[in-house]
Amino acid sequence: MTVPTTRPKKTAAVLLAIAAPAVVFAMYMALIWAPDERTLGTVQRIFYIHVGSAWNAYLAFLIVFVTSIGYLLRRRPALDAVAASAAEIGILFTTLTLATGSFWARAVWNVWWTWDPRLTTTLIMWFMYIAYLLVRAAAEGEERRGRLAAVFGIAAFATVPLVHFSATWWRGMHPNIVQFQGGTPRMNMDPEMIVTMLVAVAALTLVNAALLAYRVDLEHLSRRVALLRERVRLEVES
Amino acid sequence: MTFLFLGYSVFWLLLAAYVAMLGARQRRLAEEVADLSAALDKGAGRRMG
Amino acid sequence: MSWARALAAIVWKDLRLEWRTGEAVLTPALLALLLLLVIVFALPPAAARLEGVFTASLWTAVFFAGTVGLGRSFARERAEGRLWGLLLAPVDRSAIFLAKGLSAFLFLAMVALVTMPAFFAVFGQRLEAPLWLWTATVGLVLLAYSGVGTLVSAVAAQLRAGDVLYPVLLFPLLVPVVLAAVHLTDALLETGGWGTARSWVHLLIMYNLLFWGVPYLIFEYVVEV
Repeated sequence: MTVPTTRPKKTAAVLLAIAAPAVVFAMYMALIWAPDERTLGTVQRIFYIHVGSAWNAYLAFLIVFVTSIGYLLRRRPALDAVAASAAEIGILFTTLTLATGSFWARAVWNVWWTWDPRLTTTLIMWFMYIAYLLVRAAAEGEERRGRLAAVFGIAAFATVPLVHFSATWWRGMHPNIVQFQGGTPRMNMDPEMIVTMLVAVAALTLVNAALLAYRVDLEHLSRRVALLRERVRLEVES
Repeated sequence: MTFLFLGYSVFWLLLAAYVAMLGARQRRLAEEVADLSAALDKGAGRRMG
Repeated sequence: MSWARALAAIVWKDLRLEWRTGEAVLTPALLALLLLLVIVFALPPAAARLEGVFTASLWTAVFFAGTVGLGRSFARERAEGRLWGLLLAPVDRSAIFLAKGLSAFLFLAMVALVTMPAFFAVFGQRLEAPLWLWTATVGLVLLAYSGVGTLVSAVAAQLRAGDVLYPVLLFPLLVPVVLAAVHLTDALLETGGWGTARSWVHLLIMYNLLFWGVPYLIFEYVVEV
């Protein structure tokens, strides 16, 4: 199995070079440029990194879903490497979503947590992908690990639409920024806030991409170690 | 301390922690690659030399 | 061997094995009844009558007890080396999934047949809704449970410490089913029908389509040799 050694690292560096200024700019927009929210005040600004994290969690898990299907069909180890990496990063972004959401909740609703549908399903999604990592850890052999993880990665993706639509299907405390007025979706936010939100999402997507490239590189490195270990073992035995 | 400040701080801290974790993992793996490669070269050297 | 006959053969084998070992019906049913006892002791005396307590207790017991039997569905085959026999047989792999899923459903149904009347009796809860509606509701829930449970069982059987991991892998996936079970049961007890909770029936149907359909299509990959 050929293991690419330099490309992912360079990709990660390039993406980081783009992500860094984007993030700084997004922070400027979120913390300074964007107007204060009329009723909630400055604390509302957490919203920008909260939404950015949530969307990137979805994106990461979508990547797990797609690469899992790809792996079952094509059996390329590179696809499995991306799936594993994306799952880990998705869990990171889910944690960030829960954490930022928690601060918002404490500021606005006066509780650190509530069993609202959106929060509850997000927590379940978190557990789901931890379970995905457990499957990877408990499988013996690269083939079995890739295959079973792919199966679980496909099934696990069912949680993502569940989380997203939970806020609209069931009534709860979590705010809905997209309202349907007469059939057309509209966002009841100042245009400056919408722009800031999009910039924050974009910047964090670049961070997501950079992390993914770095993590995939590590995955390849780890496989290289496994290969070398095997060769050493054969040497010792002969 | 405002919740805004805390929220953003925790966000960046968690991100930084993850990156640090990846960095540590990379260093460990790179070390292992070096060790294993050295062991293999030594073994090959002995057989040929 | 024709597809339908293979299916019937596997289900029949599971049923006969169950008659001899009792590990898919008897043990889970016993566990569910023991859980009922624990719940009764754990609850303060007035709590049993409170809204939602009966429903929560009932489904907690059924879902947890179910994992004991379901989790073993494929692990059992592997332990005796029978999985090889199954896989080497000239049978469509998807048929194996359907057969194991069907057995699982039958076993869960039997467990429910024992457990639910016991819960109703001990809590002094009246049926409130027609029996056919209860059967349909519980049937849909258990069907969903057996579908996803069989899929995860096949995955867990191939993992180190799969027995232990099984509930952890299963429960996040099972959440929509649990929610549906609880909401529909509450609706049946309060209004005697599905009423406004009908959307949960749609959800259960969708869930069943997904978690029987998708494993059926990809089972070839799940149990590769």
